[in-house]
Amino acid sequence: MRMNFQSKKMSGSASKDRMIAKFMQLTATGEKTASFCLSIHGWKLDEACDYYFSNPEKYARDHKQQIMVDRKKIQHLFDRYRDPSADVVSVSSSHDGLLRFFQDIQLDVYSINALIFSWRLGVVVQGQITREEFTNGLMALGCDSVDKLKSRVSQLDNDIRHPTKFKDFYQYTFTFAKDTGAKNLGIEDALRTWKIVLAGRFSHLEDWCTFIAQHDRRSITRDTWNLLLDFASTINSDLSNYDEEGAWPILIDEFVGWLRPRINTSTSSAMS
Amino acid sequence: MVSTQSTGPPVVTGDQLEELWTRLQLGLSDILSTGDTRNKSSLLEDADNLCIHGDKQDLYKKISREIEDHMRGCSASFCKLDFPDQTAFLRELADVWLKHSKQTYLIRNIFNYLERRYVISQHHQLLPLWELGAQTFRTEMMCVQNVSGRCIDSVLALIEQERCGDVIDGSLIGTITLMLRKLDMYRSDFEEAFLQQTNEYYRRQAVAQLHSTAVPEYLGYVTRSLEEEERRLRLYLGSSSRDQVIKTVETNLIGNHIEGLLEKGFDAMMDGSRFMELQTLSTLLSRVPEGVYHMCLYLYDYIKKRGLEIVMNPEKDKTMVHDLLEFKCTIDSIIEESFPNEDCVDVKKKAFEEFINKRPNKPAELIAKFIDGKLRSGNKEQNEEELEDMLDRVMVLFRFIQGKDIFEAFYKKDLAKRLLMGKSASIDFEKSMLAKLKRECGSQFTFKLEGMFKDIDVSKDLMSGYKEKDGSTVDLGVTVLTTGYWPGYTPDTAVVIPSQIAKTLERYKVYYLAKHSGRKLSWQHSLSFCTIRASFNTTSEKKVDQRKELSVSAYQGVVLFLFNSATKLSYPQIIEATGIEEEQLQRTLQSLACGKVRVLRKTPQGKDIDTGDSFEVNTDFKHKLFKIKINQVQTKETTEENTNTTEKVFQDRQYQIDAAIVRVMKARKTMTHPVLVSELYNQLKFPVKPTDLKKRIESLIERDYMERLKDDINTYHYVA
Repeated sequence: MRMNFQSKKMSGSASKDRMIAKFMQLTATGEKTASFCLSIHGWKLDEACDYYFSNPEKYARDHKQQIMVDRKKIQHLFDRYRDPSADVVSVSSSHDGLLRFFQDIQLDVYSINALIFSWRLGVVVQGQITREEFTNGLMALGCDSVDKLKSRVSQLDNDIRHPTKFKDFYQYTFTFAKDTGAKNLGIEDALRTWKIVLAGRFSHLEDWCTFIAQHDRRSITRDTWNLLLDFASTINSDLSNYDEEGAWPILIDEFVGWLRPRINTSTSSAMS
Repeated sequence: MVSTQSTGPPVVTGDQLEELWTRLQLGLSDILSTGDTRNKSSLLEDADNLCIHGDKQDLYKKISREIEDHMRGCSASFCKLDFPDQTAFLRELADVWLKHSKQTYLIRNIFNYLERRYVISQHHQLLPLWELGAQTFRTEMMCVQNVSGRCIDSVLALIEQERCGDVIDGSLIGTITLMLRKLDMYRSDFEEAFLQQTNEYYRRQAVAQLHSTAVPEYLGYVTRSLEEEERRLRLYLGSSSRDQVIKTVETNLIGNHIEGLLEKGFDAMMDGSRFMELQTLSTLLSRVPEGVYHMCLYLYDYIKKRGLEIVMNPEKDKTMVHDLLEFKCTIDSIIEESFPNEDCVDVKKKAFEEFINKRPNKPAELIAKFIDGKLRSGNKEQNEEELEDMLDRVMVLFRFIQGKDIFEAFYKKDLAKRLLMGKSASIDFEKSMLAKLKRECGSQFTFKLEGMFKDIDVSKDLMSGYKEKDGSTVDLGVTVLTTGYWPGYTPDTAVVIPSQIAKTLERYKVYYLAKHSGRKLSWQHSLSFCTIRASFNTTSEKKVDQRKELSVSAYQGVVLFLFNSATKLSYPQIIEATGIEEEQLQRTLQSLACGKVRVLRKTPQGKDIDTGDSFEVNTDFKHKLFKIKINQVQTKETTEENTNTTEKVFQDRQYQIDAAIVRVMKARKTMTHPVLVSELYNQLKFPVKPTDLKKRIESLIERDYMERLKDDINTYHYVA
């Protein structure tokens, strides 16, 4: 699912303002950064966003995002939730700091926001946040208190609005979902994650999950995981532009082969 | 000729000229009415004189008029005649013409002087006398009262009758057509109508004949028709229309029905090896454009169809190679006899290659087995020459196969068995076969096979050296196999060899390692065999010692030896005591206790070996022979062996694909998927499906040998 940006040649300053506002919303930056970046890239919103995301530091013009973030406060926050025995906030049965933390910042554990949050923090191991991840993550988010986090959490879906960002996020979820030592991702975890992250972005998500569940593959490779997103975003709903001779992974080839007759019968029954 | 001398100066008076003409006129009249005249020589003289002294132009005109008048009269009387049929009409016409021709000829001779001295110089305005006569005939006879129309219709009708089988007066037709030619009317009045009629006739005939006769008969009809037309043209119609007539016949009878003919009759003729009929078909088709082209298509389809029937049916596997050889032989002779042109030979090759490879792997395996059968001793079917010939023909089949590595694996396995069990019929045949394979596939293919032969020879030398040195009495033969040359064997060092034999083996090992200190030797008992002297004590009163010599495999021997120190043994006990792998052991026990030759008795009886079974020596064992072979079990191929062999080849293919991908990617660093796939197809010598390649690519991506480009999922990049 791609979002269409309209890049018209704008002349009036009112339209420039509109663009700046839009840019700020998309990139969670300040006004100075937004207008700087846009002006460099000929006021083309699409391009400007792309460039910004690839190199955010280059364009940052607002001092510390107008909001002062207190590192010490963040450390205190971490200490409130951390495990007694390790320097992490985790889901250990005794302490359950992670769950309380999520509850306090109103983050639904099973939602996509939880995943986006983990991604922003760069969490490596599921079920725990290290001190470093916590600190650097909250700094990047510009939050040093539960209240600030609460409001930030509600805007998390912005962070994956741009396709490049979403791709990065999606590819991250593979690493996050699998066991740390394993190379590939187990089917159960894969299905669970797909249902969360690809909801609304993949017209054949349900079929895909049915297909995978009854297939004899027991794990998903990173390559197949990544390419599913390309499949979801570039292939037509009727599979008309799918090239079997192309470089698609075999599992996706098999899915198309499995899906095609089902599509044809449903369209023909719709017609009759 | 002018005679001047006798009568003095020449006569030139007008009266005399008149006189001359009168005489000539009479003469002409004679000729024209009777066809001849009495005084030819004096007429000639008169003609010459009149020519010299008189008005030539006038004379010409007068002659012309005479002929014309006469012709008119002829025509009038001709047209009054009634003719019973067309033949009679033509006969009369021909008659008139012939007479006229003769007359004109005569007239021309008489007025030869005029012709030469006057007419020729006036050739722009005046026709030569012969042509004058012909033209007069045409205008006054033929073009009057539709005589020419009637004439042509009659001729066409007669030809049609002849085509339908009637006998007609051919020479009459010949005369008439010659007349038409001489009258310059053949092309303008006759030919087109004739060609149209021919076209129409054969168009109808084609449909009728095709409908009612089988193809071979039809071909006969076509051949005969062509011959008949040729004959007619040659004998009476003249050859100017020949090419067009023949082309019309060919087009109508063959050209417009090529597919119909082939569809209807080709396969049946091929099935029946009808050489003559096929040759006729081929000849006739070669006469029309695209005839041979279509025939080649049908030939291709036929070969493919029949070939697939032989190759694709698993129930026919036992006779596949034999059937293929026979089929190839038949096709070869048909093509040689009936289709001797390059295109057909090409078609044959393509078709064979196409169908043989439609069934992956099996033909290669069966060909290897077939050759094994022929090279084994005990093959008394053919003499040397026949065998050589047959092997050559098998090689031709082999050439078509695309997955030659399957053949190599089975051939090697069977060769190993032959060499180790001493089952080769003749080393010369083996070497000759090897040479054939080398010629066909190159020395890399046969390198390992040659190594196997070397091992055999070297082992023989080593053995004689050992025997000299050791001087033991045990009759021992050892073959040392170089790993890599021979097929892979599962090591079975756990097998417990009777100590006596084990000692001997150890002595050999010492001897060998003394010669080749860096090497490692391990015994492969599954391949070994021995002869055991056994004595079965009977339980009957006779107490005759039943002594036998048993040829057994090493495994069988190991099991039998156990009964030297135990009367009865359970299956688990035997497992423990022999160290033989269970599946092998079961087969061994079955061969000793459940087959035709039962040297052991199993309790309870039955074909399968269960843990509850127990074994003892069969004291009632009887056999008419003293020397008994029980070790065929080693030479037969089990289904596991078979699947193992093919599995190994597939494994190997995977490695080869991987290696090829890495090689190509390393060289080019970045490649798109289609380019990589096409490059791999070039490099790999065995058949691969696109999915096979994709599987390996994915595997290599997973193992981080290569990756996809970030922005282009269709392009790969080599990871150093």
